[in-house]
Amino acid sequence: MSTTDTDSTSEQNDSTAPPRELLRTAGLKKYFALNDGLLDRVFGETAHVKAVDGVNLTVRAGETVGVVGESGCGKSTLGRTLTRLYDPTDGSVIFDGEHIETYSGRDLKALRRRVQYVFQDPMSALNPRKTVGESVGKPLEVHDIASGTERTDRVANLFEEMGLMRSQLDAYPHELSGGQLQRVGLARALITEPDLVVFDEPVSALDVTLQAQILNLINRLQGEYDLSYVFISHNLNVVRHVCDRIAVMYAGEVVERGTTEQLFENPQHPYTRALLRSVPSVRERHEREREELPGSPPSATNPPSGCRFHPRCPEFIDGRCVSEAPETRSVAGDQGHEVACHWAELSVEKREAHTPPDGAARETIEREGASGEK
Amino acid sequence: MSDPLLTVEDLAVTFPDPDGSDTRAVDGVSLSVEAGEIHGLVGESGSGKSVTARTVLRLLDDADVSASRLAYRGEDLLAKSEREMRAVRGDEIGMVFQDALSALNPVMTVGEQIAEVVRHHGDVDESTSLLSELRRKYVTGTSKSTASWRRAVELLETVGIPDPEQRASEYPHQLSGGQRQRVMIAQALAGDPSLIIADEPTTALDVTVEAGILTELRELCADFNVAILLITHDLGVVAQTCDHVTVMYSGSVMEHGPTDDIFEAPAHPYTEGLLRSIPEGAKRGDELATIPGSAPDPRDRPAGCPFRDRCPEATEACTDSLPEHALSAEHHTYCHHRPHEDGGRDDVRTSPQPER
Repeated sequence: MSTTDTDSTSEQNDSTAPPRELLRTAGLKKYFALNDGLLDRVFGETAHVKAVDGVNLTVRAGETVGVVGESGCGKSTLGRTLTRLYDPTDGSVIFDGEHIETYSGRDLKALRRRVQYVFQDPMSALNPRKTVGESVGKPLEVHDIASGTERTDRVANLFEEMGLMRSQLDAYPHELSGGQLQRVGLARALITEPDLVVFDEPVSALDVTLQAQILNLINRLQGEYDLSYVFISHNLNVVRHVCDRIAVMYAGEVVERGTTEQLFENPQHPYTRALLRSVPSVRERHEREREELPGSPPSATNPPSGCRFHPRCPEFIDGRCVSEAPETRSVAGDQGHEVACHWAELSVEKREAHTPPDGAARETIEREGASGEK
Repeated sequence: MSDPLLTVEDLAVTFPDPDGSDTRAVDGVSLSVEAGEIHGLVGESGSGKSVTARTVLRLLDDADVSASRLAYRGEDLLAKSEREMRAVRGDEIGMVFQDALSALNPVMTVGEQIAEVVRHHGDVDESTSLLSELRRKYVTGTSKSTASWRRAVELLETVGIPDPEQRASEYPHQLSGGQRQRVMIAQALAGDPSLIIADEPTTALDVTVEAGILTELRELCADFNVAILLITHDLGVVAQTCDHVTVMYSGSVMEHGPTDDIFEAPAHPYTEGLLRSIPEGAKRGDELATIPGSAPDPRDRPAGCPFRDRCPEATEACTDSLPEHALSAEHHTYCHHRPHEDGGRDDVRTSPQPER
């Protein structure tokens, strides 16, 4: 998907310039080779799982950018690629003005100090044979920041900041509860005083009361340490509470992006609308029925032609959806809001008059569209 | 009102520990499930909700179970022999587990797994001659045609699996997470039960898929008059699915009542706290309400109200008993401070906690 990132250039003319860009990816791709044996490489074409397929993402200093989507849409792979835990297949990652996609060795190590990652399951992210105090203090040693008593003091202070007790420094991961472990995970990420933290489903495994505690902590730390966040989650209620801007991913691509308000109040992509309709609601349980989005995410090896969402799309327009990949374009009258859907170019009247073709009619369109493309 | 389908009264489940520090996972739980309703059992992890459900099916053989009543259709489940229990499991009470991939047999087609339950249920005519079976397998190559297989395909269709004929001969790993969960539901239905216990059936699924599974459960409940005991930690799931809700905390029931009462007029500080901590509708930067602290260790649970250490309203009285108050015929809370002082407390019944 090609994007002209109009939002950043146009906004700079405003009297209140937006904060500087901390991270920007352009056309970022991460493919995983499927059959990587020698014979496959010599004789056959290697099939690839296109986990992330051309993503542009911008994170400004001090803001939280959410990445949402169903499992398998590539949101975790995106998080890992932009922090260089995975090497990108193609595209660029610019962190604080420097191209980091080619970093290696010493440069990469220095980058690790400034970019940290918090995993979903702290139990498997922490070494079970080390006390949590040792695990949290380790980065100070690796990056040569502090040693001896200074190291111990810094870890102890951060533990208190995270709402843990000093006595828990000597605990092993299995001795702590899920909420406490996630606090340790946060401490381990923050000990190097990073600029950017990527959270991968940090509260998905937690009960709702613990979830609220951790989310409050995450919000508070952002102000105190002047941090920028990338927040990966499938929980739209959580994302709404934490994020300034959101990117919605489907099958390796960003299909819509905008501020939290724009996405929730004025969703433009049929997929975003479907996601919002499927969210459980406690407050509107009588007013609004949850709706299922039928079908399942497409094959990442051989994604559908045209718009990747078209086989499941409840607002399917016509043959264009099958044969033509929609460009990412700005939503008229909504600055910074972008969507990749053919709907975006239709007038309101046309949209309202449209009834999606169903059954046989749709199959015919899909068949023709597919053959037309070849 | 007729007898409820499932009655649990004052259930206690203890896991003995050789060190002497026994784990009391469930401590005085009562609940009843009416025929054809969806009853939500909500609680945080470790609150004893899964243990309660498994005890109903007597699936925990290393636990000490005691109850003043544990009855299904008026029959005492604790008095049944293992052989009699086998007739209850599947035929009377079906079970759906959270992780379908580990609950289903990986080396058996899903159709065969469902058909097995149908055969075990025992009222199908499986008569096909060996000859016709061989011909089918090696000559005509048509799909299986035994009654149990046909029933399995039918069940897969009932639970909303597209192309059930084809899917029935596939293995669990070939299906998506949502489809596997539907297979589990089909399997639970195969014995034609009156009650299905669903233990976190949607927790591992995407919201888009979850909505479909929950709709499916509601429809089954209406179409087949099956009652469902839905165990979950997610209040969003309960809100739009259940008729009644029982809220558990640290092995005890805190409050139970009709879903609307629980969500609109919660009458326990814990339920109130739970509802406040849901981030729904919270705007960027809002401080979420939390319940400070964490649940007590089940090996060393305080007497009285288990929630008192985290409760903003706890008083001296909370240390010695957990009284039950009826707010209406169906809505009960277990708290000294509810209903509020001015709310009339005529129907107060104090039940002292069993000594430990």
